Formats: sequence, structure tokens, C-alpha cells
Amino acid sequence: MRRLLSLLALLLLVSLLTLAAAALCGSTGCLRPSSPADTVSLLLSLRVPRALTAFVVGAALALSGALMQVLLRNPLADPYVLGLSGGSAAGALLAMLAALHVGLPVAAATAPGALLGAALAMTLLFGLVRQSLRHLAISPLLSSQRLLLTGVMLAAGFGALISLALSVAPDAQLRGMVFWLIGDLDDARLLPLASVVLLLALSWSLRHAPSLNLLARGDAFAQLLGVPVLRLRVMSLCAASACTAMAVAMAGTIGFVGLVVPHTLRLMWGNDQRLLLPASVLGGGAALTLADLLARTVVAPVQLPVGVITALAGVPVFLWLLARSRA
Amino acid sequence: MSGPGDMILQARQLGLRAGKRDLLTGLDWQVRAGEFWCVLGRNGIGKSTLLHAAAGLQRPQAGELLLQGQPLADMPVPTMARHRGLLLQQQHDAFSLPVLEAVQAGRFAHGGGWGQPDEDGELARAALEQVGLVALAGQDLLQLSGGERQRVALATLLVQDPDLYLLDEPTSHQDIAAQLQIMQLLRGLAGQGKAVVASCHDINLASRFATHVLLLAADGPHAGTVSQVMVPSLLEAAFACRFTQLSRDGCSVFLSSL
Repeated sequence: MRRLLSLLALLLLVSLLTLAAAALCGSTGCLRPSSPADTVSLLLSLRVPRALTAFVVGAALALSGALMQVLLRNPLADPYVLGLSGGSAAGALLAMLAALHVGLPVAAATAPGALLGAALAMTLLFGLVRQSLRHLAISPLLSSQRLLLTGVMLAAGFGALISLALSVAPDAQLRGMVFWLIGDLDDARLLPLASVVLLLALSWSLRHAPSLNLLARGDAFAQLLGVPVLRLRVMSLCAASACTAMAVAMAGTIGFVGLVVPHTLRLMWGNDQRLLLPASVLGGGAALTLADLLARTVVAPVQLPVGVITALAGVPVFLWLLARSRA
Repeated sequence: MSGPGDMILQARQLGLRAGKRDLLTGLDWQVRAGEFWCVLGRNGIGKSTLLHAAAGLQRPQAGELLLQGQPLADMPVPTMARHRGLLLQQQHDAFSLPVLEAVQAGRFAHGGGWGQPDEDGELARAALEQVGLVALAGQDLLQLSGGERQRVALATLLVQDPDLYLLDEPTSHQDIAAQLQIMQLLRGLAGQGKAVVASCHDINLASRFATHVLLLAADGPHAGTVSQVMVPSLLEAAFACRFTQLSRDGCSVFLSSL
């Protein structure tokens, strides 16, 4: 327990430092004590919401990824594996096209479209797997396989819709749409709602972390030791889906945070969900805030899409950890 | 707590089915505290299904199961975990975990959630001692052999400390010494007033250590004490091969031939 608290305190410190750095620095350079007061307040009013958005999105994605990895008993699962991101992205892009068609501002349509898409994907998923969610499989392979295959198929279907939306989009809009797909943290309007969802999901996860520890070792195993598995599975799917939906609606489909952060923490500190879930929240938030800071500053004043940074940094880090852990 | 002779598990007109196959029909069977039952029978006859049903993992097709006099179907999952435990036939572990922590998981139903008491670690160590694995307490579960992992699962069951121990082929992945150790351990549990039900393929181990036998045969189940059920004629009908019983110094062995 002491180790758990000290590791979390360490991560909290890193998160606060990252947030502070992200609030103080940006594409126009870092703030100094000598900067004029109105410049400071202007830049802070732009950078603080952006840093917080990055933190909340990263935290939500990493928490969702950690939950999915337990739920599917697959260390390679991520928040997007069940088609939620595909659903919200398709919803967002189609909403953008529809807004163009009727002459509404595109920016206003994105988030509602993404949320609708995510809700549709979630409803489809739950509807299609409700049989296996009600049934306890003795072999853990079978129980997650159906969920996984259904999700992958949904993701493929939504992928086709995304391609369709991109191919019929007017050239002037195409760039904006592609940027949204890669991930874009400019829009902080959903920040309060997303923070509430994140906090609810986190407190639920903390409460059920001991049960999730057992669930990670198999449905039948957990049920035998006293975990009501069927309810826990549905609830963790709901928590993970809500986090993913919020993250995607806010910032598009930012890859790798949801896969790499929980997995990295697991390789470093083990698979105790009581540590892993809160650590994923802090680590995911810090990682995405840092990635966004890099995206804004590396080739400033040009801003890179943050999803490119997460992938470019995430892939080598992950491969290095994987190689090290096998030795 | 249960005293010796108390009824622990009761099957009334139990019918089980796996997929589209009817396995057992109309089974009436009672397991009391202090008894060590071995469930014998050919592959696919329903040994595992019976154990899964008795553990509440699978609903019976017909009839009902009572655990400590209460219908199993209405029992809440955490209550059930304090009354019965099951050693699964195969251990599936996808994530790495220190052995000692893996064993402590058995304390979940006894309040081993967030505030895990210190004595849980002691209990886990004692259980590992009982299955002969205390030297591996700090190892990673994924680096253990199949037989060792099965014994880790057995240690987990020991710290769960239910009234009814259900074990699906506890000796299947074990070397001969470990088989004897495990059967001895189960016999000892029954001696302490627990009820033990283990499926088994080794009829000689069963006849040596068990107190009772449930023999599942194509023509129906036979339940009774070892001396009532483990006779060549019943075994031959159940397994469709021939048995010769050899006795020496009060110990008897069955030699099988086709």
C-alpha cells in the first residue's frame, strides 16, 4: 500500500509539472516573469484550457484502454478496438458534411456528431453481444472472442463510412477533416462534461479495482472467488465506452495513448489494477499533455497534429519496453 | 461452520447438459462434511459439468442443487464464494503476477479487497507450503510449469477456505509424488470436516485416498463408499475395459486391460 501511494504521488507530481509546462510554453515561446501582464493573461487563457483538455483526453483514453485490456484479457486491446472510435469519427465526419450541406458552422456539428456516433456504436455493440454478456464462459478465450470479433467488425464498417465521408467531402474541408481524425485538442467546450465523466469512471474503477484484478485472471475464476462477473463486465464496458466517447468527441481519434500508457505502466509496475487504473489516468494525462506540448513547440510556430507525436514517440518507447521485458 | 456429518451439497433429480448433449439425468446425490468423494467416469460423461454446476457456474437443465441447505440458484455470488470453491481443470493466465499475490486472491470473499489484512500474506504462504511451492512464492506466475500453476490454483483454493472443495482433475498435470501429496492433502481436508469432491482419472489413487466414489457410467451413476462402488464389475461396465483387483497388505490395486 505504501508503494502504491508513493508511485501515485510521483505520477501526480509529474502530471502537475507537465501541466505547468504546457500552460507556460507554446508555439510562441515560453512565458517569462518579465512578460507584460496582458500577454501573460492572454496566453494563459489560451493555453490552460488546452493543457487541461489534453490532460483529460489522455487520462480518459488511458483509463479506457486499461479497462479494455482487463475486460478482453488482452494486453493489446485499446479503447478503439471495439469500434467506438470508428463510430464517433464516422458520426463527426458525417455531421461535418451535413453541416456544410445545410450551411451551419462545421465546428458546431463535430462534437454532437461524434457523441451520437459513439452512442450508436455502443448500442450496436451491446445489442450484438448481449447474449455472451449474459452468459458466463468457462474458457476465457471464448468469452472475449465474441466481443472482440463483433467490435472489430463494427470498426471495419465504420472505417468504410469514414472513407466514404472523406471521399465525398469538398476539397476545402478535407484537410480539416483529416486533422480531426488524427487528433486535435483545440476545442475545450466539452471539458467540464468530460472531466465529470472521467472522475465518475475513475471512482468506479477504484472501487472495483480488486474485483477487476480477479476478472483479469478469467471470468470463471473471478466468479468462483465471489465477483459478480456479469454485472462487472457490463459496468466496465460502460465506463470504458463513456471515457472513449468523451475523448473522441473532444479531440478526435488520438492513437497510442490508450494502448501504450497502460501497457507501459503494467510492464514497469505490474498488473495490480488498484495501482494501474489511477496510474493510467495520471500517466495518460501527463503523456498526452507532454505530446501536445511537443506538437506545439518542436517546429514552432508550425503546430503538428498531436496524434502524430503520440505515435512517433509511442511506438519506439513501447518496442523498447517490450524488448526489455522479455530479457 | 459445519460439523462432521452435516449435509453440504445435495443434488435433487439433477439433469445436466453440455451443448446439445444430455449428460446426467435424475441424479440424487448427497455430500456430507468429512467426506472425500472422487468422481470417476469416461471422458465426456459429465464430470466437469457436474462440478461446474455444483460450483454455480452453470445452471442445471433439470432438478436443483442445494448448498448448505439453500438453493444454489438463489445464492448471491459472494456468499457462494464463502461456501464452495472450485479448482478449474485448466489455468488461464494472460498477465504476469507474483505467485504470492496470485494466491492471496483467494481471500477476496473474506474481505480481501482494498484493505488487505497482513494475515492474508501469512495464509497465502502457509497454503503454498501445503502444496509444496513456498520456494516459488516470489516468482512470476507465467514462468511456472503447468503442474506448478495448477498447484498455485490449489493453494488459492486453500486460502479461500470454503466448506465444499470442488476440484476438476487436481492430479492431472502432476508428477507421481505431487499426485500423492495432493490426494493426501485432500484427504486431510476431509478429515478436518470439509467436504471434498474431486474428479479423477486414476482409479488407484481414488481407491486409496477417497472415502466415497461417484461413478458416472453410461447406464447411470453409482454413488457410495469406495468399497461399495469400486468393484471390478461396476468399473468394467463404466469404462468398457477389464479390471483385475490385486490385494497386498490391505492395499488393493486395479490392473486394467482391454
